Amino acid sequence: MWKSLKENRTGMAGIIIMLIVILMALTAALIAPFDPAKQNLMAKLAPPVWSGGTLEHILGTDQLGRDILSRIIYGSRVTMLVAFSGTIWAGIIGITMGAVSGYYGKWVDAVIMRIVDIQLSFPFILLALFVAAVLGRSLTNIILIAGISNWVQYARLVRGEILSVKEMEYIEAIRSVGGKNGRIIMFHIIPNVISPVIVQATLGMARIILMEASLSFLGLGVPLEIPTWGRMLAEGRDFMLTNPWLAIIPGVAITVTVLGVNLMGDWLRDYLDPKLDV
Amino acid sequence: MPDKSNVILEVKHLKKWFPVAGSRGKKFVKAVDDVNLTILKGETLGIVGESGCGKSTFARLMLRLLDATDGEVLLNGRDIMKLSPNEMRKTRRNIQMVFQDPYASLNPRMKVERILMEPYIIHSLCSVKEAKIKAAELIETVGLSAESLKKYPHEFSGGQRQRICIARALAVMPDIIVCDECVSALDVSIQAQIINMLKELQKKYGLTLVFISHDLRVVRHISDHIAVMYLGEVVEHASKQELFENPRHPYTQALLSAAPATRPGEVKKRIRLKGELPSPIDRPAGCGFCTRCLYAEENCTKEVPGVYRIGYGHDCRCIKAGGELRIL
Amino acid sequence: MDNTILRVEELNIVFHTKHGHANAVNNVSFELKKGEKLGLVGESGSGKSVTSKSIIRLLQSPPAEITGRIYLNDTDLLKLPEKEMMNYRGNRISMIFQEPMVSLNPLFTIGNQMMEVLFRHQKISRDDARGKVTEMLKTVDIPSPQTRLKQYPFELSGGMRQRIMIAMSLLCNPEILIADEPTTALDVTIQAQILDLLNKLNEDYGTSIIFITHDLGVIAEMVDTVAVMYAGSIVEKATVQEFFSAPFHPYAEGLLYSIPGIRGDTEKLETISGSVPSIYQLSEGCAFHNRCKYVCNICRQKKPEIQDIDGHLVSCWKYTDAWKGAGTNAG
Repeated sequence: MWKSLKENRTGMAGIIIMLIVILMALTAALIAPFDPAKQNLMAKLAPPVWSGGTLEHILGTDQLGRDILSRIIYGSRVTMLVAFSGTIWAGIIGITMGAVSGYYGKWVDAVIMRIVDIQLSFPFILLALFVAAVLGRSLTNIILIAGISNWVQYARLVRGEILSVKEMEYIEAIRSVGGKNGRIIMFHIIPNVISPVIVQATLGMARIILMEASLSFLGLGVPLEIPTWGRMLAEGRDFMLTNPWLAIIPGVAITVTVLGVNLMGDWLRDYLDPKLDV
Repeated sequence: MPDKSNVILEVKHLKKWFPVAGSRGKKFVKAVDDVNLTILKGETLGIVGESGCGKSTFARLMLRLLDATDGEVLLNGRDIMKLSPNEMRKTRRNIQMVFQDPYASLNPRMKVERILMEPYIIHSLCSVKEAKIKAAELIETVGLSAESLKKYPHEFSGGQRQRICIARALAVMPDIIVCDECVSALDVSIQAQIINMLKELQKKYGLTLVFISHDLRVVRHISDHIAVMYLGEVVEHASKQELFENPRHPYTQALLSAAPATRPGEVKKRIRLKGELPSPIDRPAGCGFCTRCLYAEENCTKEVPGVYRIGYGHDCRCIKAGGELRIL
Repeated sequence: MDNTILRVEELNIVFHTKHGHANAVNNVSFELKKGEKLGLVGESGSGKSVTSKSIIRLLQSPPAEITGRIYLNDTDLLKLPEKEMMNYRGNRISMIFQEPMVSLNPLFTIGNQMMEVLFRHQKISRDDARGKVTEMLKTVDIPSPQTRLKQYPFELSGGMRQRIMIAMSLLCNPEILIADEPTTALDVTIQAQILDLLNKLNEDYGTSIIFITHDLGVIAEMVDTVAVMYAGSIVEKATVQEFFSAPFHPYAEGLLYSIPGIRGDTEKLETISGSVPSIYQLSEGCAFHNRCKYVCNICRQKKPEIQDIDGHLVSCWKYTDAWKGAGTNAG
């Protein structure tokens, strides 16, 4: 695996980015120089260090005097949490639905695929609005939205893979030995369809990160006290002409993270797929 | 008549009709249509036929990988089509299959050891530790080294993979092993190795083999009795010698004459069949072969011929072949 | 040299891949006379398909590195620019492949595809082309040829498609037809028809045929000369009668006698122990030495030269003075 990474520079870059962000999220409390919610109106709108600011606030401060660097560091926590949990959630629902649909076929398949169709035609903003309005705005609800709006890719993918794997003779062979459906799905089908799912997951994570950012930007995201990159972007909107860094810095953070996820996903796809091919 | 007590598998009026999608139950692909066969314990039955004759579907029916539309498959006297799922699961240990494509019949994500242990685990025959030992014994029985256990299927050649498949089939100590074109995808010299091995294993374990193939030479070499299939029916069934010396069904005769010559300069009198294989959806009325048969007459298009007994153990489904009509 | 139309000399094909260098074809030389039918026999990995594809230059190079000479009459095909080679394909050399189900373009009618061949190589009017195509379909025993012209490949069976492939390949009356396992995917009765057809066309048109197969049982009635390939080299070449009465090379012998029924009814089939060596790592000595019943020391050390025994060619130390006794590999 290391060999593959060494050969593939972009994949390596992607993984490094991811590791940095994850590390940042995990050690936020240790490395952030300031409390991200601490307001210091005396030092508000201080520019970042390369624009004439001080080393005290390397990335400057926002309109309430909160240290941007600390907010970025803490913001990564939400981002990573939503990204991973949302993906896992979406993955579990999606894989299960897709597996059942693909393996059992017939009316089960028809029903599930119609649900998928309905889901796909539903704009996710509407869904987010609905959830926010009915269930309130919380971190859990964001993860819920992430799960609900993203399971569909996995379902379709898994269903497609299962349809082809199902016909393989090694499945018939296990059935002829006496294997039950449950065992066949768990040990024989899932391991053979999991590869593209893993790749899809990394790409799906990117989507979720952007989704969270968009929701926060629109004011539908997590409660106000929690710093997120999306919210930072939103709040920086009003200051685009005077203090552009307020929006640019979180924007860069989002872009780089999503890029990292995508690069890692590309590499992962190339790494895992040829192995499947005999 | 074959000794009743020696019969291990009996197939009676077996039918498998697949409904054609969109025809709302009006049209069917009659893949297997009224097959009757008796297989004796310890013998090798060869089933030969060309594409579309239904031999693969028949193989799957024997293992109940498909449910029959009609008819019975009596394994040791019990109709497997009527068994409950639990009983069927236990019965599966008595009849196993080796499939055609060595590249598709092994789970590419499982190590060989795990593949061979699985039958024991499924049937709870022994502990996991014991299963490992059994797997090691199995791999040696089929002529592969113990190191093979730790490898994945894609690390092996086609012939080696078939050996692994045979080992897997042997794990549960079945009475019958069905080989569905299991050497067709292999090179000739590897075919020979596998065929020799199957025969040795048959002797060693007292297996009954059902060997399905389109290759007459292989079927001739390995079988005791041979059944010829055409369009879902067994058109002729006889001992090997009888079939090759005295083929009575016009299709069997054409098939035998089509076999390639084994000596240069050997002049083969080929029976040229008219027309093409009819679609199994639109079976001709009467005898399935009547559209191409050189001897067809009017009666052939009217009724499906019954099974006629030509001689000891020699049956033929042709009204012109002579013999006595059997009531089955 | 008089009626020799194809001369392959010292053909070497190496594939450069990330796993190493694969020596697919090693120093292969053979000749084909006008009207002759040559059977090129070998199992997987023998190099027979690669050799035949190189004659019609269908190999991508890179990754293939092809050296040697292939003379069609007096022209070295390997030195021709691609544009000129395109004039040869379908015109002077044709090829038919193993899988009739996928060799025809599913989007175009039969008539369309066949006439395209004529338009490519000849100045011919549409009507004349249609006429020629219909004639050719009749020649290959396809019933109702006019209807076929308008049909699409999916409407026809495997046997019919293979006949159409044969018809297409013969439209421009090529000097050589390369048939790469044309009957392997077909049923026995259809196979017999196709083989008879190829024989008939060879007689009527004088087309030389290179018939590639892994099945020795098929060529007994099909070819005049047999060339057996193993691990990229030709190990034996003889007339079909001589070959079948007594093959010389141990591999050819093993191959022939592993066919069920070739020696009457036997209990056990002859087998060749072991398996084909990897083309990434060919040994210094004879490529077959680790599986050979008759191996001795020199077999392991040096590659045998080709011995000519009354026109029967074999590449094996056993037929030289250097060979000393039977070997230690069990048969």
